Amino acid sequence: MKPPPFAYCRPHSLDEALEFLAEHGDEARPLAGGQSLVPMLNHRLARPAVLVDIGAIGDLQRMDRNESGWVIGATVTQRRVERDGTEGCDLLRLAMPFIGHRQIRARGTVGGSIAHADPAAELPAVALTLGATMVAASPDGEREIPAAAFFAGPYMNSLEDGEVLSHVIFPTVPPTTRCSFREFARRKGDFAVAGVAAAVDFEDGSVTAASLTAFAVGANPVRLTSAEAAVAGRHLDEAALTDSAEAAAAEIEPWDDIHGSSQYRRQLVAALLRRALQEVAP
Amino acid sequence: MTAPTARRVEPSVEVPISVTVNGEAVEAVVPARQLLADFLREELRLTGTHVGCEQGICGACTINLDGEPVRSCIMLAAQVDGSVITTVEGLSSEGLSPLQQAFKDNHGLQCGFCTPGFLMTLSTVDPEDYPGEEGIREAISGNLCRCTGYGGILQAVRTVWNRPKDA
Repeated sequence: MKPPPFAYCRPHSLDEALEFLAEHGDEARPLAGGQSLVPMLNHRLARPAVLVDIGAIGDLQRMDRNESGWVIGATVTQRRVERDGTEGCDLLRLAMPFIGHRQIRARGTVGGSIAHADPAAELPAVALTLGATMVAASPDGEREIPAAAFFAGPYMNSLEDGEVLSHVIFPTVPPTTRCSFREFARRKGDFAVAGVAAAVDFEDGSVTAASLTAFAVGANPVRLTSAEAAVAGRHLDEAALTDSAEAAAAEIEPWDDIHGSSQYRRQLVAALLRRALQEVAP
Repeated sequence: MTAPTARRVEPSVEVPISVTVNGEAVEAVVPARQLLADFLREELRLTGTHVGCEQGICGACTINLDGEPVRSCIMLAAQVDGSVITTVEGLSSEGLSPLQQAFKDNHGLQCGFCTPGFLMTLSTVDPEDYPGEEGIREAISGNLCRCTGYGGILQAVRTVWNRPKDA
C-alpha cells in the first residue's frame, strides 16, 4: 500500500497555494495534516496528480481570540487546541480527546477534519453545535460559510472549485453556557458509532437556549431541533431528560452499517443525550 | 497575507529535504510519493521503525517528530523538510534506555514487532499528561500489540514512570 505517483509542492504563502490549485483544477488536492488524505492515497482511494501542501503557510497557523470568537487557522493541529485550550469555547476542548489518538492529533488539523467532512468526525459536530463560520479563500478573496450550510453529504463540503478552507471561527459562549461532548466507540480512538454534542444556556436553572447535535448517524452531523424544543424553558429534571432523549431518537434517521443498526444508533443517541444533559444541568 | 518568501517552486515528483534524524543532519531528494516510514527504512536504513498496517491504525511506525509522537506511515517524507526526528535507534547511544530496560525486565514484548512504536510513543509523551493507571492505558491506546502482551507493557511503564499499580 503505497501512494500513486503525484507531484508535490509546499508553498509558503496562501496566494501561491491558491495559484497552484487554480492552475491544476480538479487534478490538485490541498494537503493539510494528511491524517485522512495520506491513508486514502495509500489505499489509492484518492489519486490527485498534484498535492499542494498547505502546512508551511504561516497565515493558516494562527490561533487567536477576537470579539467574534476563536479564529483557528486551517492547519492548526488538534493537539495544539487540546494542549493550549480555547477559553470561552469549552466544547472544542472537550471534543479533542475523542479524535483518533495522540499520534493522529499531533498531525491532524482543525481545518482538514472539517473540510474532509467525515460523517463520524467530531469537529464538524462541534462546528455545527456552536454555529461556527468557515472562511473559504480563493483568488477572488474570502467567503464566509455558516456551518449549517458547509457540510454537503458524506465526505463532501460546499467549497467551490479553487477555494480552500483558510480558517474557522468558533464563537465563544457566555459563562452561563455549559457544554458536553459524548460519543460511543467500540475501542478507544475509533470512529464513533454515534455521538452527541451539547451547548446549553441557563437562567435560574431553566434552559434559555439549547444547541444539541448528533453525529455518526447520517451523512453529516444534525441539529436535534425536536430535542432542543423539548428542553426549552424547562429545568433539566428527569421528565425533561426523557422527553428530550425520546425526541432525539425519533427525529434522527440513522443508517445501518457493520458497526450498528439504525435502531441501535437511535438508542445510543438517546442514552448519550440523556447523559450529556445530566452533565450540563446546573 | 505574507509575500512569498522565496521564488515559486513548481510541483515536482522529486522533492529536496533537509532533516535531522537521531542528531545527524540529512540532505536528500525524495520521491514525492515516498512515505516517511519508507524513507527512514529504505534510504537511511533505520529499520527499527516498523511498518504494520500502512493506514495509521497500528502505531508500529511511531516516531518522534519535533517533540510529538506521529505515525510515519501516513506522512510523506517530503513533509518533514526542516524537522527534527528521533527513531527507536536514537533512544540511547549506549546500551538500553531505562524505558527499553523496563520493557526487557517486565516481558513487555513477545514478538517485538510493535515494540518500537510503543517505545517511541512512551519516550515522547510527558508522563504528567497521563496521570494514574488510567493515564498509562490512555498513553498507549494508539499502539496495538497483536500478541496482546499488554500486561507486561503496562508493568514496564509503571516501573519506569515510578507508578505503583495500586496508587
